[in-house]
Amino acid sequence: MDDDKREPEEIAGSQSHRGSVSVGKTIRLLEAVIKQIGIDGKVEAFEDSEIVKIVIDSNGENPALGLLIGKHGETLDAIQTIANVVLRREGDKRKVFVDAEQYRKRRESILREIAERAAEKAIHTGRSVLLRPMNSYDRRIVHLELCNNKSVYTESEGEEPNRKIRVIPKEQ
Amino acid sequence: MKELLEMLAKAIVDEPDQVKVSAVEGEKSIILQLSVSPNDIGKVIGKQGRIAKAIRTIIKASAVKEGKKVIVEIID
Repeated sequence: MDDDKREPEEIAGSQSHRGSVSVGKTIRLLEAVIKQIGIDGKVEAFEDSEIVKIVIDSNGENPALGLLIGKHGETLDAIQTIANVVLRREGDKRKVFVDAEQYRKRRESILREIAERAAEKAIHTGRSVLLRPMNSYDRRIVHLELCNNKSVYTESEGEEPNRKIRVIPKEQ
Repeated sequence: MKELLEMLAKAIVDEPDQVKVSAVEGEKSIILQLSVSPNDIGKVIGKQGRIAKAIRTIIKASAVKEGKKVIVEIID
């Protein structure tokens, strides 16, 4: 493994699709990470002024893919945490989202379904429903799913890593 | 794995030259000892250990192919 002694500009310019220096540096680190996990793949970034979406694309079937995502996406979340730190250190305040094999998209639809089901239950029983602990990314999806719901509202309670969402029926 | 830990640590500290990783390898497990500059300890641990946890999770994923249990210790 080569030491990172090169100038950021050099890294950023070394490959195509690298808009900014901060993103180039992040991609390079993630490339090394997936290689070490045993995945032959590509790391690409799609960025706008607010977010940087990094997609890890593996070449075909790969038994190591499960490792990359981890249980409930914990490895992907860990990679995302580090990616956010690296970007912020470069003075880039945008938020990074890391995805592989459309895991996030699949997870998002599952979370939305959980949210809707909890809302239905809260409305039906007239009592609040407490969801299992979730990380901040997952909670955000649930909050957003229900923020326009006329019959329920959501609140987070407890401390990380056991912070949970409560789905509460609105008084009619 | 050792290189990966070194690389992750170097990417998030202010004094990458001070990053050192030593490995103690047993039959079934590897202990990786990470030491960084005292000024950078907080950076590799993070609020409520978030960064340390993320580093451990990534290292664990990379250790699966070697079939060994890996423990990451942060030394101060």
